[in-house]
Amino acid sequence: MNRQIASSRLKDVLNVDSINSTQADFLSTHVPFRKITVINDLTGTSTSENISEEQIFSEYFNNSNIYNRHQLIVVDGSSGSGKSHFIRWISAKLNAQEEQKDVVIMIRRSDNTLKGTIRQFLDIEEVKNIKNKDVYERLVRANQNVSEQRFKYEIYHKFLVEIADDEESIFSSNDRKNFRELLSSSEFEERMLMAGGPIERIYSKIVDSDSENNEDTLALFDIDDFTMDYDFNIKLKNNASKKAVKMANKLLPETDGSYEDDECNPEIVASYMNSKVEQVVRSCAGIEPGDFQQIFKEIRQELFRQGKNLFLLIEDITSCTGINQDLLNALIVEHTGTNEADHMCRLVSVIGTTTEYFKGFRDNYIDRITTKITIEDGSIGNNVDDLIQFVAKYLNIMSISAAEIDNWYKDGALELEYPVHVDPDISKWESYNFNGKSLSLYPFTKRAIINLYNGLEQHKTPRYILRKIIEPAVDNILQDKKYFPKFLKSKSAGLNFDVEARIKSTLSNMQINAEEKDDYRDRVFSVIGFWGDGTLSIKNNTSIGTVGVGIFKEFNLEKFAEKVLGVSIGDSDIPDPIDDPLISLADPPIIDPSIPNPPETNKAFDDFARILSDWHYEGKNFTKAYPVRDEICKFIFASIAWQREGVSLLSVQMVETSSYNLISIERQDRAIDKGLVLLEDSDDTYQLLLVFGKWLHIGEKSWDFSNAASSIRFVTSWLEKNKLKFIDVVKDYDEKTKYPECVRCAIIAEIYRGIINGDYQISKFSDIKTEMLLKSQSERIKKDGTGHSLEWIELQDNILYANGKAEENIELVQKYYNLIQGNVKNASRKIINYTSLESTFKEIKKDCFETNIEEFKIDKIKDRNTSKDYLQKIMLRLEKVVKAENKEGKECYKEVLKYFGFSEDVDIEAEDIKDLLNEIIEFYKAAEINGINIALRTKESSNIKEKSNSIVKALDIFKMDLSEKSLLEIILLYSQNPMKIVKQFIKLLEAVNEDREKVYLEMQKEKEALTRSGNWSDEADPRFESEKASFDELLKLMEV
Amino acid sequence: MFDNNIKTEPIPERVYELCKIVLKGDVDDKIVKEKMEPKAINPVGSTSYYYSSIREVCVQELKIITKEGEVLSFVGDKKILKDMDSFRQYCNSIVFRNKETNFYKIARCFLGSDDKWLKYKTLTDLNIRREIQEKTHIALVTDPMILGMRFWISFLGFGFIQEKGAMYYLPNMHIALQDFCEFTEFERNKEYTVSEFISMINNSASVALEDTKETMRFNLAMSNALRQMHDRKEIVLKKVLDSKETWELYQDETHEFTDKITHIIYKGVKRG
Repeated sequence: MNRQIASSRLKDVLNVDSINSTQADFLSTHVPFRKITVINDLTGTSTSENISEEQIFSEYFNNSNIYNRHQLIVVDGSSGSGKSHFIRWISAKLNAQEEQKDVVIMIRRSDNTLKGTIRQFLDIEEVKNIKNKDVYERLVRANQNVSEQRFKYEIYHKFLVEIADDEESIFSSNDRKNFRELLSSSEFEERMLMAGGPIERIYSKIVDSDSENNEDTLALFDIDDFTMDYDFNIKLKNNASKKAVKMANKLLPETDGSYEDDECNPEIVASYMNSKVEQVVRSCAGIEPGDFQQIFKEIRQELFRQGKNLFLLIEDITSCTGINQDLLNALIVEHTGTNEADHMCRLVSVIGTTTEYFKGFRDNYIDRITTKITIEDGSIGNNVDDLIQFVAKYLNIMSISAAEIDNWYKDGALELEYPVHVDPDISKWESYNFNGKSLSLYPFTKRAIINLYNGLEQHKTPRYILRKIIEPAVDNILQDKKYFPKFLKSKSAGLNFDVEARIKSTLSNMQINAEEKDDYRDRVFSVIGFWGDGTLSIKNNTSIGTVGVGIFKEFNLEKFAEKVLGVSIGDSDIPDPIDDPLISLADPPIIDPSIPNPPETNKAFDDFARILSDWHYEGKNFTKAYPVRDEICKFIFASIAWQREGVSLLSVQMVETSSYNLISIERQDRAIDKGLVLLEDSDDTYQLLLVFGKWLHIGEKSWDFSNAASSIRFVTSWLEKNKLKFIDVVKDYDEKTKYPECVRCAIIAEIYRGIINGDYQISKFSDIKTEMLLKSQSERIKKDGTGHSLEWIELQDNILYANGKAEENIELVQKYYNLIQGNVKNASRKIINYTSLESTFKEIKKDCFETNIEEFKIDKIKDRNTSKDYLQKIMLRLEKVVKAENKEGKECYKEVLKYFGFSEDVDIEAEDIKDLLNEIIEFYKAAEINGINIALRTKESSNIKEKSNSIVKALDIFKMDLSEKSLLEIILLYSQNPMKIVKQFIKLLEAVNEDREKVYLEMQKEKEALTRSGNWSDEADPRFESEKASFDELLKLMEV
Repeated sequence: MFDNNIKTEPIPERVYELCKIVLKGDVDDKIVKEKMEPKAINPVGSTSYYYSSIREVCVQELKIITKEGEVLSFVGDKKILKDMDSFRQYCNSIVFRNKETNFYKIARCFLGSDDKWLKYKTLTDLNIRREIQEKTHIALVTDPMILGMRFWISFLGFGFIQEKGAMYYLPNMHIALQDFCEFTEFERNKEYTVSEFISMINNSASVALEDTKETMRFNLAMSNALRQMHDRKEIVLKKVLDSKETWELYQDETHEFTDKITHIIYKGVKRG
């Protein structure tokens, strides 16, 4: 490629629609059409034939037998199919004829405004003496000084005039009025006049436009122009008349896309307005109906006068808005028959039209069209050789100076003398053989051209090949060769996933700047996918996937090639390009572009892969991500050896059964906040998702699919690299604590439970041992709390043992430390990780089994909160319980003191208790001897006497100053229920007291009865008076 | 386990735990048993052989604990129990010394399975057991043998066991290969031919290389490990075209080295 020449000529050579594109460039890049269908006599039974362009030329344009015949030839085909190119070729051929006895006029697409067309006629050398020429020229110049905006308003208001006068409207009278009102509203006017709107489109067809919009767009109204939207109608309602609003509402689609009035909807309105376009355009240009026909007739008469005939070639009639009707009417006028008297020249006209547009006027002119030539869609690509010749010629010509090409043209444009550019810098490159001349395909290869052509999403036509392939590629080479083929960056190379993975793997082991890595990868993808066969297969160490090493070197990708080949590429290593076996004329059908690689045959996987590709390469959302995401979660849970990583299987279970997902994927379309570990959009994540897409869709949740070994390599190394992220969220502790908070809470709660339930026969804090956590359920059943305060009992009943909570809590601890074999998370056999349990226990004990419940945060993993909630409930009541228990203890102490009659500073000793109880026992014995009717408490008293020491201990606790003690120490003091025995003692004392009262009262009663009966006086029992007298007498005798 | 019957109960974590308890000082066997398998929280009445089979591995096979009468004593190097990694490295250094054990033979089958076992939903599939029987000439390969093996295959770093409903062995012995590299005195940044590399590492890694030496083909577990070490820049794989010998990795179209290698440059193991 001659960069200097190409830089200046690129635009000119490729600009197929430009008037400035020379005939020389045109012919030097022309590739013959092969499949052209010709139909004569459209009215009768159509007969069609496929003939070559040369045959068409000689039969219809250079045939002396029909030289004098009037012809109207329609060339149709879809947009960009090559019809313009064909007409230009006819034009070039007619002009290149040595004997120029006829006038050839070509109305170009880029100069097809109404006035432009008329001016082209008036510019013909032969008609400079036409009568009325000055009048016509004035016409062409009219309105030239009017501002664009003002002219647009004029056009718009012309439509209003047309509608106002229209008595034959297809609308009802009311609808027509309402529609006029709508058009009159400033809001709607603004909408119609906006940039790119219908009025601007029509405007550009009236004035000489510099617009580079060369597409086959029509200067007509679209349905969309009259399709209202809710916001607009609201705006209208506030400002416009009721009639306008009424019409706007008729043009507002319902939710199902229908309209309220079948006879007045956007389609009908657009069609109605389009019927007025031609009148309006003509009127705005100041041309009356018939003017054009008159001008044309006079031109033909002038040519006739000079003995010349006319070839009129219209590249694209669809864009001749304003005159197409007049133009067509002018073209059907024959020079013979009834018109012979008008003395007009013979006319052979060729009009290019899209197939769609042709349908619109076909019926009215069917009997006047002599021939229809159809250029078939994509005809150039149906033949590989044509396609490559087409590209090769353009690439060649843009490196040859305009002067050289002109000389060739002037010398008769002979193929034998066709100029060829030889690139001194790039000697070894694939080329196209054109009549023995070698045209370099640089920077393409044959395969690249085919693949890129196949990759065109639509319009596989010459114009699009130039626009989408040649121009950007050459531009890329000229501007930014270092990054070639950057122009394909956003285009999927359609590589097989394995190939993509291998390329990424290779690149990851290369020294490439981080910021260039993505670009480098995309360029390799493009080269392998488009220049190559989509594989990385190596041949003779000189090509990778059919791409020669020279190409990699030229595109600055030799490092990659060297890495793949395992050798360094020197200049001498670059071999001559070999003809790619894919390119063969005998094998014309080109591979389907949508499947450049062997396809996965699983539709579900293909669909998934497409979503995934859009997600990774185009930044779209990840839809339908859940099944694969879930499989990845399951895989992680199932594959990490959790216990080996220091994570209890209970922790795993808690996360696995939670409402949160272990992973979420960046831009998954919903519930992204429900993931614990976010997998960011990266090559690794993309690869992982692909693997699990295969696992799910192809293997149906198994590894039984082809190339599973590669997938295994990827997922195992991925898991090893990433497992710590998952381990961290599952284990729920850091290196400092070494155990999760839920386990700490469960252990503390269990210790409190055991103390409150009086399970431990200990009085000291230091006696709390690890083994206490390994007690059986039978050793932990709820004990009778009688003796304790009501608050204590309530804590025991309503919190500690409520709904099996006590059991659930210790199970958490025991399961947490169970070393399970396999996956049986609820194993009944428990092999305890004792060292770990012991170390945790020691840590917690060191903290005096204290924890700050106010610092608890709700864990998103619900199961982790259970033990925290349990402990929190215990802790919240503990102070109250301790206060109540202590208060009752003190009361008991006072009560006991009262019975002894001791002051508070005197200690009650066991002997005191025993003495008291002995007296009581004696009391009951006396009562028994004296036959007093009371329940004897001798045995009860004896029992309590035996527990005198316990009572003393209990009383010691009650009178203790607890202000310096922790809650745990206090409950530990009360754990063995000291109040129980003291309360029994008090109860006994109370009962004894009652008995004593009872005995006393009974004695009093008896005394009173005796007194009343006169048997009692002076504090003596009169019943024994005689015995007393005998006794006194005996005593007297003894004293003597 | 390694020398005698392969059982499911002595999983690596339990063996490690027993050693840790004894490491603290000589202790009565019954006390250790009660600590590890407390009677109070285990099913009543069943005579558990769990503890004894775990102790057996420590005493008779790993030989880091002795049992004199009823007293257990730790006699190994304390560094072995520094953490699970050092324990694994110790195990990898001794459990494959005897090539005649069932453990060695079955481990070799695991490593040689490539992707063939992936089509079975569980490792205890009859076809797998039959294949092992044929290859190893072990008269009967039972379910518990396979189930017991899986814990150690995973623990010793020969791959992952994906276990949920189905049970797959995912071959990738990267961790084990790291251990074996560390056992071998490779010179950093030195380029070895694959033959040299293998002959040096074979002393410890023979379980993964026995077939390789004959076929010059690495199994999937070893291939994946070599590729992973290459990707982590612990080694550099090379394919020198005019090399005398070419060794084949398990075919993988998605990696830089799809199949052939000739040289390995040792760079050094990177943990973590």
